Amino acid sequence: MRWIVLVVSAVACVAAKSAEPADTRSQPPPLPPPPIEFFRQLLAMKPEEREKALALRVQEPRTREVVQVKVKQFEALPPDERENRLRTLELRWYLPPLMRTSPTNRVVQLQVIPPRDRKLVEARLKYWDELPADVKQDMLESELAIGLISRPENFVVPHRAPSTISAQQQEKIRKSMDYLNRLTPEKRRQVFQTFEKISELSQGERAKTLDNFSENDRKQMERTLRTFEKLTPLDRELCIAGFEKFSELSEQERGDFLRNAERWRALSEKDRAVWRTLVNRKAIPLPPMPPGLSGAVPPIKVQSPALATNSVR
Amino acid sequence: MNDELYNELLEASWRRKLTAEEEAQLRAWLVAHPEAQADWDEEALLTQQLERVPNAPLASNFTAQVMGKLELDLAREEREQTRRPWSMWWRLAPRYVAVIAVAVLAGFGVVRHREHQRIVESVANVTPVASVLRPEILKDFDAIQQLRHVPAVSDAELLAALQ
Repeated sequence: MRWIVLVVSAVACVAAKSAEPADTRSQPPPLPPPPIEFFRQLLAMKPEEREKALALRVQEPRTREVVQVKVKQFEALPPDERENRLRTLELRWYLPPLMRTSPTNRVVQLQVIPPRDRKLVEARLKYWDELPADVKQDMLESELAIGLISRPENFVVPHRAPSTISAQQQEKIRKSMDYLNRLTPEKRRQVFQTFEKISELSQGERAKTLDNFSENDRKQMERTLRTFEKLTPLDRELCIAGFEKFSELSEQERGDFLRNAERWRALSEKDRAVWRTLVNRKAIPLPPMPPGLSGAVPPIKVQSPALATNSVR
Repeated sequence: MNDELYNELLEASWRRKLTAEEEAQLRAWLVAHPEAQADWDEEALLTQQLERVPNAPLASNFTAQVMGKLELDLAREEREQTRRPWSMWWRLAPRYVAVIAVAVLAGFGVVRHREHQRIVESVANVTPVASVLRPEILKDFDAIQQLRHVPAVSDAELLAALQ
């Protein structure tokens, strides 16, 4: 009988032990609170209070200047966009360290994230954990990819920078696109296919073709044709495919594409290569977020400056 | 010797005796062209010699023989045509070939013209865009298009400043 009592007690002890929460001693330390909280407080302050708070928190004049400029920029934004950018920064603060941590070691770190952001972070991490290891490595090396994964859902990327494409060029593009969009899809494809084969024309045929245009247009066209001629057949095919896709965009989308093309030119070759790989491997665009996890939540209530000052680390 | 009047008079002399008027014309012409006198004399002598040769005797049914021969030739030709209808086509072939050649050339011309129009249309509508969207942009269309999901403005430096 005594033996039975001992065995039952031992089993009960083991069961109780396994029911305890996971051992948190092996977990990495919790994430510090996002510094964006301080920025939110700055935005809510009056100018003189802001200066004082900033002087207390940021010693380096150059850094202080960066924050001051950003405060002005954020103040000028519409409320929705301002909130979206703040949330993007918060996610950007939380996500990269968690992305570098194995799923089993995130428990403590996730607990310190406010519930409002936690669900969003968890949804992103779920997507992240399912990616192949090499894609993850590429994404961690890409500022663009981190920017993408850190954006709240439904974030509309506004393009405010004026395009560097001249009004005359824009008008030419608009005219060409209007013309091409009036054609049937087959006819449009034929136009592109013909362009693809122009490099096969003899010099005489090409000269005869270009004779139909004004001197200025002719020079421009000659330059463009020469550029296309130098491409490999595969690259030429890719260009034509890109052209076809471009022609299918709306005018607004075309404008956005042209601005993004300027961003693309400004990227380093390494960044472009990583981004290209991610797009080719279908890691981008990100899948849609589960329902109810939209990033378009109302702005959070900012703490009072007095309280905020105390809460700043 | 190419004088038209001389030739007419010469031909007339082969068939009959010249009239007085023609004789007068001949004399006047020979006065003007003494180098032709020897030729005329030779021709006149030859004509005289030929007149002396008796005519060959003709068969009484000579005309009937000629007509019979013609009918035979026509009948043979008709039989050949019935037996080989393509023979007529064969004779007309050069004309058909010429017509077909003209039609082919015209068709080729039309095709070439249309092809040229197509090229002009393509160059006119594609190059203005291709001159702005350089190949390096068009090639990476999908990658660039996906940039629309990435915020255009990065606040990374703010995050760095606040840390």
